[in-house]
Amino acid sequence: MPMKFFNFPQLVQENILKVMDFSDVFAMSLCSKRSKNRVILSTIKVPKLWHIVKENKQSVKIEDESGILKTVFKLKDYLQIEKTLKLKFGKGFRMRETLDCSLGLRDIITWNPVSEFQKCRF
Amino acid sequence: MSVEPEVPIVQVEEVRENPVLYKIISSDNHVFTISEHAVKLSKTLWDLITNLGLTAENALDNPIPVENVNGKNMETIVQFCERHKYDEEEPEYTNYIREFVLPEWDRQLLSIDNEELFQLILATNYLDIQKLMDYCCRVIGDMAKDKTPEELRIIYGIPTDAEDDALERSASDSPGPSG
Repeated sequence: MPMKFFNFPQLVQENILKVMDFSDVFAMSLCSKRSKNRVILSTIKVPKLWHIVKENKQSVKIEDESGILKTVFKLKDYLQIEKTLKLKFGKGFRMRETLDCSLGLRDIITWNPVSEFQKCRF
Repeated sequence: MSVEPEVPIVQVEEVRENPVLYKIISSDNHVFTISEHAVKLSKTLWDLITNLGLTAENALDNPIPVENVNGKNMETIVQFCERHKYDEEEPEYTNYIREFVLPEWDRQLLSIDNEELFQLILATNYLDIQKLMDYCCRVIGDMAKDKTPEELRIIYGIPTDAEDDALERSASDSPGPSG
């Protein structure tokens, strides 16, 4: 018999999401529109969000308060990157850009000091 | 208040160091004895005790009826509260993901089937026991570990978007209470 998630009171649903791993919360948000809205409404704070693109891999990671990076998901498909430029501007915001000959400029690594899960739309 | 229990008193744990005991009656008339430190873990019960003005002298003469919780869940709750009565206070809820290790004793206590766990969570929510709520939620959350969205839909009974839409349509088509 399934444990019907939406039969729990709203506060309990929120508590369940807040004790899950980031990757499981993300998987929950992919189940349906309703579950995605539930994840957004729970306003789980993400200390630092990383979108990392390397020559042969792409991933989204979350850095917790102790500086440990946790992978939320990895992309299997990636675009071929030919040249990387490093840029730094503003306080608390870094960005490394890549010049892809076929596609133009793409952002590589960004992070916000404090971003919420709802801003993490892929 | 004179509620006569039909079932003999269930003594979950004898408390020697703290003489103040309270009696709780579950919805199916089971009577439980719980110590003062343990009952403080439940905000609902502790508010009720303070509002009723129960003291060490009259606590056992005035059992507290809890209509929303059955005897089986109450027994689990009393066991849990007695076990954790001297634990440090839990930090306040934040919007960050909480990480903690579920102790083995508590994992054993919560190794029950889904329907019982669901009822226990509702009881815990009603009695407002933060620690037990966290532990129950961790057990539910652990079911999702390393699962795909398709597997999660089955585990948590999450309807697809199409099923949700169909449900919404049928709800809007059906006549209301006046019609």
